[in-house]
Amino acid sequence: MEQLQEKSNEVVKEIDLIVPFLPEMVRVVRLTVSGIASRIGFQIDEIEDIKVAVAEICTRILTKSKLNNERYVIKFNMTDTGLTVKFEFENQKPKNFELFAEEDVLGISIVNSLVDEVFVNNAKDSKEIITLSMFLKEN
Amino acid sequence: MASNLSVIEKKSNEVVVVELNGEIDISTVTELKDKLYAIIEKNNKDVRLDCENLTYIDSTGLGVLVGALKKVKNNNKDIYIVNLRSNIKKLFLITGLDNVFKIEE
Repeated sequence: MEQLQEKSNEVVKEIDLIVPFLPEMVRVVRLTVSGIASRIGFQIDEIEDIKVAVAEICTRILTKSKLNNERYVIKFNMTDTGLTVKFEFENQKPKNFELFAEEDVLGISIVNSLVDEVFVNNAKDSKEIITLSMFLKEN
Repeated sequence: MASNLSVIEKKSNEVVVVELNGEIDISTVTELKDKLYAIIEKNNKDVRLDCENLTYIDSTGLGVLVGALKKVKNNNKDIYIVNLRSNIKKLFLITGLDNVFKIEE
């Protein structure tokens, strides 16, 4: 048992979810991230915020990329200080892809308000889209 | 796949009451838009959105509500939102939509 505990401390706790470009799958992502955030130790209202922000990014990716037979990857990295959620395309980033445009003011304000850090990767040759970070608060 | 949203119209004399039950996200927002716009076009009345059983909404859903408000305002009517859950009310506050809609406790 102690060996298992030591191993748990050494392992990089990352869960990767590969998601089809289907609107109904966003609900599955919401359920998944809720479970992960709960496991890390976030409070109920924080879990709700994380869930909303993560789903908002999924929705942006779906509406902005217009891909059909492809998938995107969500990497949930669980640390002692919180949760980092990185979104990537499974293959190439589509040409002229822009996650947030000016008209997406509702989505932008929701994401920026609900998470602690946002990093958008605009590099055209990178599969990475955006990374959200949420940190555990001292309660 | 079964929808996670139901939009129920309940008529009364002065207003049209619309119950929103379930979740509004990218998979259900088209259903919301079609049904809510049809209700607005059919009834030249104020609209009362009862959100007691609305458990989730995203920016696409909020966008449809803003579009619905524009339609209603064209007829000099208004949308009243009632029984918002705290998690959804928070999104109205974040986006400033609490100043756009008439929200009643």
